[in-house]
Amino acid sequence: MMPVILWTDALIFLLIAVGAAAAWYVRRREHLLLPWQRVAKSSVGMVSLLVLSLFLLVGLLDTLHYRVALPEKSNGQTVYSPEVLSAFDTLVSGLRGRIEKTYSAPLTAYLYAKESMERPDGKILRDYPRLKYGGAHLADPERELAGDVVKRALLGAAVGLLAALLLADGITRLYPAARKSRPLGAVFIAILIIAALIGAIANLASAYHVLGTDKVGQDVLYLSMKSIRTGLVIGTVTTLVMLPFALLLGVAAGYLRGWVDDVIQYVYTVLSSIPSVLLIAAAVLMMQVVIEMHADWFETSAARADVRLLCLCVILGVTSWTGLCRLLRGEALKLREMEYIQAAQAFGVSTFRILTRHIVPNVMHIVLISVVMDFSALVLAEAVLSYVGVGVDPSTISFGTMINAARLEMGRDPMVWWALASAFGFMLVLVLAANLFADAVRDAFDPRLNRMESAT
Amino acid sequence: MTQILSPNPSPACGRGEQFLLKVDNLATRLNNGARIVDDVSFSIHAGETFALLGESGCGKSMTALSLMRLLPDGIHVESGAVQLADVDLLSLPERAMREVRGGRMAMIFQEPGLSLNPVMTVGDQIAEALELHQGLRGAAAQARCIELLQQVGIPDAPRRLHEYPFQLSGGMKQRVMIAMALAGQPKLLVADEPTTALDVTIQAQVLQLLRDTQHQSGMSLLLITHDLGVVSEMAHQVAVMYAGHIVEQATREQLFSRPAHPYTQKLFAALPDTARIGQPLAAIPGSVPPLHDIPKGCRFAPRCDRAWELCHEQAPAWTMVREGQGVRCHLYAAADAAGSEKLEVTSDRGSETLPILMSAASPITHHHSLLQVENLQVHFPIRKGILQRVVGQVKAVDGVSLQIPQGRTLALVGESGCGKTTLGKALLQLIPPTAGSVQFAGRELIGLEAGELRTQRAAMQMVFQDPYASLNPKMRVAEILQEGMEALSVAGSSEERQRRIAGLLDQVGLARGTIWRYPHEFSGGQRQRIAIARALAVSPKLLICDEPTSALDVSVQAQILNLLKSLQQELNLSYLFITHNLAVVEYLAHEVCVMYLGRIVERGTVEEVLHAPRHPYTQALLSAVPRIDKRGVEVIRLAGDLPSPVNPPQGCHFHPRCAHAMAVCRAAYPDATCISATHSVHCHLYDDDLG
Amino acid sequence: MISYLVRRIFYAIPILIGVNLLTFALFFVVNTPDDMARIQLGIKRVTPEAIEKWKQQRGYDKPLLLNSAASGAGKITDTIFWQKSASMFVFDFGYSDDGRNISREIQTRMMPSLAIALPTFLVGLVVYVSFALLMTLFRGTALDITGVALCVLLMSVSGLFYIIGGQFMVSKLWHLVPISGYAGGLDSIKFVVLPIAIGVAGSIGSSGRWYRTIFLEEVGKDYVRTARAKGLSELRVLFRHVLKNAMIPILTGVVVVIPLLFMGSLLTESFFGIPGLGSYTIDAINSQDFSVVRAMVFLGSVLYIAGLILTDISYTIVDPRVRLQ
Repeated sequence: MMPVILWTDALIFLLIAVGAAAAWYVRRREHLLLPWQRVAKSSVGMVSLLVLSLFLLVGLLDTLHYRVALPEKSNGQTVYSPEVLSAFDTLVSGLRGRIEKTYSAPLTAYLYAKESMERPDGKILRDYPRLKYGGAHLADPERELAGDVVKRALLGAAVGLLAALLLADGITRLYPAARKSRPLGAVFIAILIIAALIGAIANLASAYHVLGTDKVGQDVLYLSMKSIRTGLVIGTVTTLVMLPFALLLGVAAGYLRGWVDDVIQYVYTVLSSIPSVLLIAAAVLMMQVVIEMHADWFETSAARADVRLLCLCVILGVTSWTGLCRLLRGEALKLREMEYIQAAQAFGVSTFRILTRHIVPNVMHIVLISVVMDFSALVLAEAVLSYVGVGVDPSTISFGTMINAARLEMGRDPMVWWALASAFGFMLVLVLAANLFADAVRDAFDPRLNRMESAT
Repeated sequence: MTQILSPNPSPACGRGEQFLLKVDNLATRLNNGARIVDDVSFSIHAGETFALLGESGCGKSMTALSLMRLLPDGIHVESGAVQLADVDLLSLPERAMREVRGGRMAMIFQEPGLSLNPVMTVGDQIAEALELHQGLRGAAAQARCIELLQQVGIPDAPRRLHEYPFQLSGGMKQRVMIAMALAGQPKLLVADEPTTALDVTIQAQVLQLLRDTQHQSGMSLLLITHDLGVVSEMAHQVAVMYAGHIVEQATREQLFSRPAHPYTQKLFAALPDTARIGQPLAAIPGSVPPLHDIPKGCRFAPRCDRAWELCHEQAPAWTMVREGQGVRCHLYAAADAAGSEKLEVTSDRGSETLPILMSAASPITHHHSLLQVENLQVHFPIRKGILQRVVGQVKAVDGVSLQIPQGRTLALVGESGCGKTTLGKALLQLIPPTAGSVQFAGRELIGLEAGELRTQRAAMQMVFQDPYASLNPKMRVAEILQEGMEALSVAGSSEERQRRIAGLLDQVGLARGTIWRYPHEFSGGQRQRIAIARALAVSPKLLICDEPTSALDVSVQAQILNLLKSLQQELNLSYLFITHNLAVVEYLAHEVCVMYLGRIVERGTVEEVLHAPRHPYTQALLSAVPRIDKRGVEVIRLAGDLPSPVNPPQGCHFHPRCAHAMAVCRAAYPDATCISATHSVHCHLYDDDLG
Repeated sequence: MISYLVRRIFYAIPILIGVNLLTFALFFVVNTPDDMARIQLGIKRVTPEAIEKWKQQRGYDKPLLLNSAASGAGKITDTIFWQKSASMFVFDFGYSDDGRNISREIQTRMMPSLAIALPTFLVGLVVYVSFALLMTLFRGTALDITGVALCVLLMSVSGLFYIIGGQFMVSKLWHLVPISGYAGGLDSIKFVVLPIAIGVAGSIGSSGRWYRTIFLEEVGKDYVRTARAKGLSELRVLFRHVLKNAMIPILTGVVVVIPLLFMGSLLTESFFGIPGLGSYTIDAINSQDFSVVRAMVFLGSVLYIAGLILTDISYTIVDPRVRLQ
């Protein structure tokens, strides 16, 4: 086994490191901790954070990539499989491996399409064949399926609930104070529901395709969960790419004024004057050409798809930094007139120090709010761009590619709705949780709202 | 243009029981439970002016809004009764209440700039009220609008009708607000700090207008203010509010001659005043308690030097001290039998004398000049047109010369927009001066390289106006104090800095334990102490104080003024004290410069300028200040507003507003005329005196 | 006023030059015409002759910036930059890969785009503002809270869902209007109704919430308290005072997109088979027709800048402070 660190993996690790460092820094500073404590008091915020962290967990597991060593060796050197797998793939290897022939509806034992089958008595019959894996343990699916599904779901839910209760009990033993906190009550209920759900789905998934299969027989549940990482990468790495530019240029333009301001304003007006979809389309088309011309740069197809994903993030970042930059410029313009900045100037404090110690810390709340708000917009944008044809690599599993593939099957009768529904469903849960969390963060960090609170 | 100042004669001579407004046990609270108005009762006679006096956050505005039923979202009236004539306002359905609002009871607000709809013409806004309450429309409404505008003293009313609020000055906007309130011919006008946002000369105009209107229409006035001077000029009855309670209520005469509640007494004592130049002001320690943390027992007890155990445990009941004067204080409840007179002995001024004895303004001896400014100019270009060519200059500071000797205070007095703050910043080279010379300790500062300038920075520092904007909310006290020392490499090692920080905190009267706190944990007065400590950290010789107390309550202002004064004596500091508040000048300054439209029009010692002012502007400025001890003084009311510095009047800048303007005033700007060795004035009236 | 607008138009020129240089760099410097030819012709079986022929057909066989072989002005004009980029300033976009005149194509496709985009914009504006006003009027009540929750939910749904779901429900299940296609004249109505409805529904969440925030901010201001103190009813306060002032921030976001309506919507048009500029762009992207994409990028930025200038003009209509100063 050989660990593989793709470009986006490295950036995600960097992001986690930055996040951890920031958390450590904030923990020790009461005034920075204060708004987070307000977030923690919001039931909606905490529940959405819980949901988000589940998505995050899946995404993170899916980020630990490796290649399996092949049994045969060439010239004494270990040869690795060209296929790049992740820890998540290993965890759900059951789902990944159970590939049917083609479409099948959720929780069924039969294939979607009729086939000619030879009966033991030699007659040729056109009928729906049994699935290779889904419900294969049932002798007579027509009769047993419903009962088996309910039984497995209930059993799984019960086990999930029990695990959650044991966990909660352990936590309250360790931190008795947690018992009294109000949002924790809501979080606790949410944990119970989610645990029951996960338990039921996990138990069902061991014997069925819970969300059906797609055209080439892959499990849709597996595809949906694989899409999460792509969505998270688009939502976070894009921000990481654009943030330093937007912060530095916006603050510099607002504080320094003069020609620096003129140049920066010119750059972002030019960039923002091109409708963003068109700019992205143009840039992605060009990037495709570059990648295709230099196919030899990439060792595996996963690496190539990954670089394309990264490029998409960079392009999205370049086209979307202008909004934040403008916002920060406006704020820096306001801040430079603040008396504490003038007091620093009266001490002859250097411009760089004023920027880093006075301006940047006082615009960080805007950065944070816009980052969490942008996240959901970016996840949604990925789907649209993939549809337009300028999104991720077609081989990358993402909500966009799933929708794109499933859309073509809308016309079939009976309808193949499950792939579309689960892609939209997963995306809705992820984006809704992100939006609600963003609201909680904004409410906690917006100084205008805070002032109202402190006046009371 | 001169007249005698005093409230309209009290209408309630008969003390008839005909109350226009009667408020009983009004309680208003936030949805989260904190009571911001608690058990407030008072009543107003027809034609009377009732003043509600208190510091910021004491609940006086909320009382007024409760009466109007205009409380913001999240605040509601919990209990009590409000009776206007014979109508119970609190139980009125909303539809009927709308007829009362703007009809029998109208209100004007503190910020005329924000209180008018910016995208509607003045005429439309007044017409709206006329249509609702008088049923006037079209031409009739317009005619009435013009009448109202003329009534509130707006010149050229027919033209102003079609103007938007942004085209009017602050004073004009407040007049429009008053016209709008008068449109419904109210029986009661609620005025919430109507002049706080205005300059003194404009304040005098608006107060006069309110008195005149009241005189003509016989309406009652509920005046909400924090300014004892305004109360003294306007009110018949006064109620003093503190932390949501009315703590004392009396007629004006009673309150000003014999304030009963310790808080009221302290408020009087905290006012800077000529009579006490040598003594420190009686500051009230601490600050108004936050609403969510109101002390049990008497709300003033934690700050009261006469409180005893009972005060901390039990809230005092309302006690009548004498006919017409009531108070919420245990002192009187306990002493009721013994006779309350004895308790009031301390009510005379200067009850509190700090142990430090302060010398009175020392006679002028030869002082070594620390700061020498010659003909300083700060001009800002005005750009216009397609190519943004410079078409003119805003002459914010237009040739100012001044000098400050070591250890002395020079006060720079002027109204907003006269360029005094720009001057202060230009001295520090925060705004690059256009021309002139600034010499500090004999060294020219203008034109210095950034590096050279830095070495000079330690000697001159600034204390700013707004204590909330002058401290970075993301830095701790220690970091704030260290910043200057690090930038200017004042104290070498970090232990030395720590020692210095501890010393600074002692000096400005903050506990040493506060160094790891953030600014949001401090009150306004404490923040201003930190700001002073920050400036002192680099051992400056000169402090430029830009309105350091104007954002603070009177009781806290006194603390800061005392601090500044004692620091001056301790450290032999020089101050340039920029202010619009003449009372503060008397208390703190040695010399005064009066500024008008970028130029100094009069300068001299405090005695000379404040007691024998020569320039008509200085005279008007002085007489416009509402004072508690200025009964029946002759008042000069200035007409019109401060002109724009973009386009100052020809000749003497002041002539369009000056009662003594002559032909020569329109032609030429007057030269300096020396009245004495230290006193000089720029006015043609004294041209003859030139020897 | 006039001089201000003239100045704004002057400012637009360097920005357009910047856009032009950016697209030029993107299309001709990041990848040389040779690269593009190879991609178009298939990487594997491509001969240098075929590349040359491809380039010659499309006029890519010239030097990028400076033609040293030509004489006089030709040194500059006979280059890819001059022929392909600079000519866009006079709206000469050249020919697409299938040999059509792009400028003429744009002209014929503008109307169908506008037929969808303009009604979507107008109906949307009315719907969103009324929805937001309703929530503002009932602020703090259950109605408002439900409305906000609904907004958050709606804005969390992918735009693709509205199109696919709407198309499926209305056209397939209920057979109300044709699924896709377009016809000229009055016939177009039955084709445009669904795209418009879906377009409006698609952003009701985000827009409704945004307008509500603007209205709430205005409602908290002092002049509103003054209006109430006059005795005005809440409805009148909302319509006569709040709405008028809220128009100023609303215009910032709204007017700027009006010229862009000509460009149509990429998604709606391609889903509903409307022959507008949006579907034209998508087709060009999918067939990697660089000339068309370049033309649309430039056209888009011209329209955006026109929108900025329109925004300035609209301020002067709504805000007397801008008009009179």
